[in-house]
Amino acid sequence: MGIIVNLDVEMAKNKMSLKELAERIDISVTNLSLLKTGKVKGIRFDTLLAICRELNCKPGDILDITPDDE
Amino acid sequence: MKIKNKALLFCIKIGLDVVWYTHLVASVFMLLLFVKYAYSGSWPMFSMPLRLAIIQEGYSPAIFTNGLTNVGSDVFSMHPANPLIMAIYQNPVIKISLIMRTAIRSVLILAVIYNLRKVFGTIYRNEPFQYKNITRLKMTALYIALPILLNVVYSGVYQLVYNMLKKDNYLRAYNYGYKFKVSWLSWQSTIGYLEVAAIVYIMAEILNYGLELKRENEEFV
Repeated sequence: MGIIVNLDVEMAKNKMSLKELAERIDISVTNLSLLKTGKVKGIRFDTLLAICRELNCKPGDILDITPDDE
Repeated sequence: MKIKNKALLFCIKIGLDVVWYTHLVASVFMLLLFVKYAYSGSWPMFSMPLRLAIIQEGYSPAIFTNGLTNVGSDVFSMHPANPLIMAIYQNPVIKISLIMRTAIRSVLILAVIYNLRKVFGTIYRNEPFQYKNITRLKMTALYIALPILLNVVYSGVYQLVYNMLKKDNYLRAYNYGYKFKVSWLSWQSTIGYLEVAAIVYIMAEILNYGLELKRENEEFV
């Protein structure tokens, strides 16, 4: 089990590029890219809130749990 | 994070630079001077390695002793006004050991200043959180602590030398009313070195902890 980030899906729904979203929520493109690919240890609440506000979604739409391998 | 007092930092930076270059030039100059004096026959009283303390006052202009070698005699001169006996060493063993000691200390001081300059440079450029700085601080602590080892070794060597010369010296001096004691180490300076080295090492460990926190923090977006 693990956390997966569905940021790319929500971005596609909103037709928003990575650069545009990064500018809107005021974080670097590099960090947002790391978040999108799931290469970070965690996400701060204020970052999550900003992303949800810009993409008109809920935290559950961005974050999900991968099912067990079994 | 922006450093607020830039002017003070600039002053410290300039101060460290001045100390570094001055010490660099002075070290080379003093070493050359030391070697010159050591072999010119007029050995100045730069050091009193035997640390002889006069307990009873008296007066004798000088005591001549046989050196470790047949090259020359060591001269110990005593004055009631001065609690320490001045020693004029003529034998090459002591001369070379003193030059070595001075050279090693000088190099250690240079190494400490060099590391401090490097660490301070990173602070000045607003990038002090580097693993290199931890190594630099730990090395600085080591360089500060090394003179303790040097003191121990040299105290042992001088104790041996003193034991060889003591009998003759003591008998002569005793006739003039002197008594001697030898202190192996200057404990005050030893403790001082230890304290400073410990403080620097603790700072390195704190920086290490801070750096780990920063690395962990950077993994969150």
